[in-house]
Amino acid sequence: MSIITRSIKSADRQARYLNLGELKAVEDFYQGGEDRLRLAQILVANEAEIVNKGSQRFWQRYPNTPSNTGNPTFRASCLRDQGWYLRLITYALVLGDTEPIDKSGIKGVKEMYQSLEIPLKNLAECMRCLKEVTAEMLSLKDAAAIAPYFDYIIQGFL
Amino acid sequence: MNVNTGGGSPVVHPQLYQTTPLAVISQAEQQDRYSKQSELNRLASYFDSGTKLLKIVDTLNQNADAIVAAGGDRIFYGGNSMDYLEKPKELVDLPGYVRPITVASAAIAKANAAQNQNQVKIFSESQSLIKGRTFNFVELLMEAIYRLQATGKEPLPGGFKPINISRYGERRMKRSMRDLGWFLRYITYAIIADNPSILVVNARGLRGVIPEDVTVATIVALKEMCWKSLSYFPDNEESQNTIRYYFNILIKEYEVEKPANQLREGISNDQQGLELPQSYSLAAESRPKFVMKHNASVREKQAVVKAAYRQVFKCDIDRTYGITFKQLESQVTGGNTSIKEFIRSLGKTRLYRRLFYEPYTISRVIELAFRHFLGRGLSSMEEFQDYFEIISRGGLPALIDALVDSVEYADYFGEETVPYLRGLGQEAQECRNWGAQLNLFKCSAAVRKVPQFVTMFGNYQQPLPNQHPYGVGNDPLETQFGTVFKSETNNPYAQPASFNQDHHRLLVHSRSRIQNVTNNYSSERILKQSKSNHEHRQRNINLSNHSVEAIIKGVYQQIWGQQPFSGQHLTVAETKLRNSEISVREFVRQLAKSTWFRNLYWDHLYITKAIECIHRRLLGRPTYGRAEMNQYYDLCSKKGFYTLVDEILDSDEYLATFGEDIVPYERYLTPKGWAMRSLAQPINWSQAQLDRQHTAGEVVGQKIRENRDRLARLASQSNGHVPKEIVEAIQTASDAVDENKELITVTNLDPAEPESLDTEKHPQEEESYEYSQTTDY
Repeated sequence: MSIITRSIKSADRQARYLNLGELKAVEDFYQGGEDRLRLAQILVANEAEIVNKGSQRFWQRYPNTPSNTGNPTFRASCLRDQGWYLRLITYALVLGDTEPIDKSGIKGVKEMYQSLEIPLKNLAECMRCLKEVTAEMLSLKDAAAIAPYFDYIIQGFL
Repeated sequence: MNVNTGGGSPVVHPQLYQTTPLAVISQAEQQDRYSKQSELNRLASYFDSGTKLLKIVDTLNQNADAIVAAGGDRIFYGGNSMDYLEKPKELVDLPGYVRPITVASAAIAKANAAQNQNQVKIFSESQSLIKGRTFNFVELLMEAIYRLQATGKEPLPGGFKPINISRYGERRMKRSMRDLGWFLRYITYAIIADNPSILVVNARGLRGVIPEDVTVATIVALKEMCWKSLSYFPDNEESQNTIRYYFNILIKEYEVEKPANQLREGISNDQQGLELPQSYSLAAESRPKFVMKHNASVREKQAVVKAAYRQVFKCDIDRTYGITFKQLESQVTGGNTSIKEFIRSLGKTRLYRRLFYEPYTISRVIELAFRHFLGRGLSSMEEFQDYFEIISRGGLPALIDALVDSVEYADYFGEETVPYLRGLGQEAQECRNWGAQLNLFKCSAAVRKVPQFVTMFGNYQQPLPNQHPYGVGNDPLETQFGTVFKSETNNPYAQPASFNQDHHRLLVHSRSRIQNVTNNYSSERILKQSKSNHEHRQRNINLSNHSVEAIIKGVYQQIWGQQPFSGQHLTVAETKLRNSEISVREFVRQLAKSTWFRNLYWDHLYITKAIECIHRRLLGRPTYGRAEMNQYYDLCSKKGFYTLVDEILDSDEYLATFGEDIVPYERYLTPKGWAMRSLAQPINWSQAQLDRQHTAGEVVGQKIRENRDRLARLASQSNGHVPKEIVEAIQTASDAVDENKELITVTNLDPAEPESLDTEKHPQEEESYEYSQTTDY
């Protein structure tokens, strides 16, 4: 649900036109749009590299983790999931809202990983590594813009 | 199958309409891929055009009234449709409010509001009326001039006649104007969202809702509104095009006949036929369905194959397991086999067996297979039984054959469509598997090893377990009292072992002595105990051992939970009790039927809680569970409060336990219940507090007294020339001290002090007893 859907929803419920505050919010959304798109494109273009560097760093910090045991399926799913979360972040960037992350990246996922016996602590650390790697590739301002989304995921795991 | 309970519902937020970013994202999301470059470009241009869109919307918002009025003016005559603009700022015109308003009264109301309501004189009515008319007249003139200048307007459709308001009716006219306002509002929403779906969802089929005789007129009005809106952007071709685009879509959707509800075919009670309103399916239209076409490009075919993998394995198996079914793929892309056969072979692969058969119980296997091959959850126990038989005879391959060959599969997916999840918006959802089905569609469904549908259907057949109405936990006695929504973190459906009033418990029975008893101990036992040992708390007060005054005090404490204030005594009943005209039980009844009791435990509580409170007060124990509560509830709803009191006091249990002469006491107090009604933590009195000789009030009083003495000394030293202020100060100081004397009552709050000391100090108070201080548990 983007800011637009949200404003329309609340205005529609009260049967009124969009008010000035909502229009302002939408305007900000439009104006920030280009920046967010650019960031999303950077993520898309560098996905492989980010996942690669991130997982290396992760395994360095947490050598005892299921994906580092040499089991090819575990390893592949770990990489896949990192890519998955990066993708969710690009969605969230475009919408300017954490809803896509929530919907398929947080709700129920905790239970899923728990039942797969993957420690959540490790997952959070993995996301942190991804965040660091991504931040190193970006300018300070861009990194600041993208960090909240990673933090949101990390929060979700804790 | 009876459907008596719900399946536990997660909250859902159906998607109501699309906006451009959402549409783009959801396309990518459903195919598990990053957004394509073309999509990103689309978004970029959307963000670029944002400022322009906002400007359009802003202008339309500001001129909304004028635009709507223009539309109305075009189709109405004989009254003044501009009156719409003078709508009172109340809710009167909103749907559901019916209050006839004449032109005159509306004008008067407006004038009244303007003139501060108390200065209205008779002549002002007519004046304001005239004023309003002239204002409208000027507007109308402006309109006429606009209209003269207007170019490019479509000619009126043949046979269209403007509607006479006096014949059409004032109220209907207002309603029509309101609807026109709604149309304009949705136009602005659609412009902001850059997507016409909100118009489609809201306007399609409205023709069937709005009376047929104004259909043509509405379209004329909409066209007029469109023209009026365009007139605010005289030099801006682009904005004009945008507005025209959305108005055209609105008119087109409006003209369409009301589409029928989407049907889900059903043949029996177990296969329900259900209807889904079109607007829901319209909103979900954007979900892609993958159909294999033999003339499609390789890339498109690849996308279809991927979709099939996603549906059956729920992930990209290539990346996770490094497995591809090259041969199967080439057959399907080459057109040798249909998608249906491809799906079937995927189901029979070793991988599917490993992922979705081996780790699960058979029941869960069936549930998951339904998701993968039919795109829904099980819908009834009978259906489950049928398929259970199939799988237990022929194993997994037989189950998959049965699902893929079923009529339902053919109806929905045919030969070449990849199965998809038939969730919210895709089709009408059944009520009885609601929660379970939504859970099944989540990506974490495969993690759940326990069958969900089967257990839920099993619960349906035993509709109401003997559980306490307050919750799903099994112990009805203490833990759930007074809460409707328990804060339970454990899974309520894990179905713990039954636990009820017949089980042995530790009861908080008398001070420092906890006994392991069941609920059916007799009152004699307590009586004996209290006789043999005076150190025990005497909870059993009766006429043979105690004075009448003690009885009265005790009854008040137990029934009302407090001693009455001075005006509250039921003096008549007390006198009768003193004269032995009524029994204790009768006295209890009088108290329980008093206004105060009713006010405390009935008037402000919801029924179950009221029953629970009254039951505890009168019978001294909590209710035992659903069965008992149901009876009381029934009684309350049919006969009310007084009958409830009578029922409890006349019950066999009351007579057996308390009889005629014993004051009711709390019989069933578990440690948990005790803990619930006391403070969260015990009060730890510091040593300083315990050693202190005076209360705070006494210290203040002492200070004031010293002050007074000092002032008095000053006064005497000044030889009679006492300043007035000082005299007053002395007086107030004395008053303060005197009042304090009344207020300061040193209460002994120390809970640790043994009661035996107390009795030594006050041997004359033989009848002192202690009730649990349970005014508000």
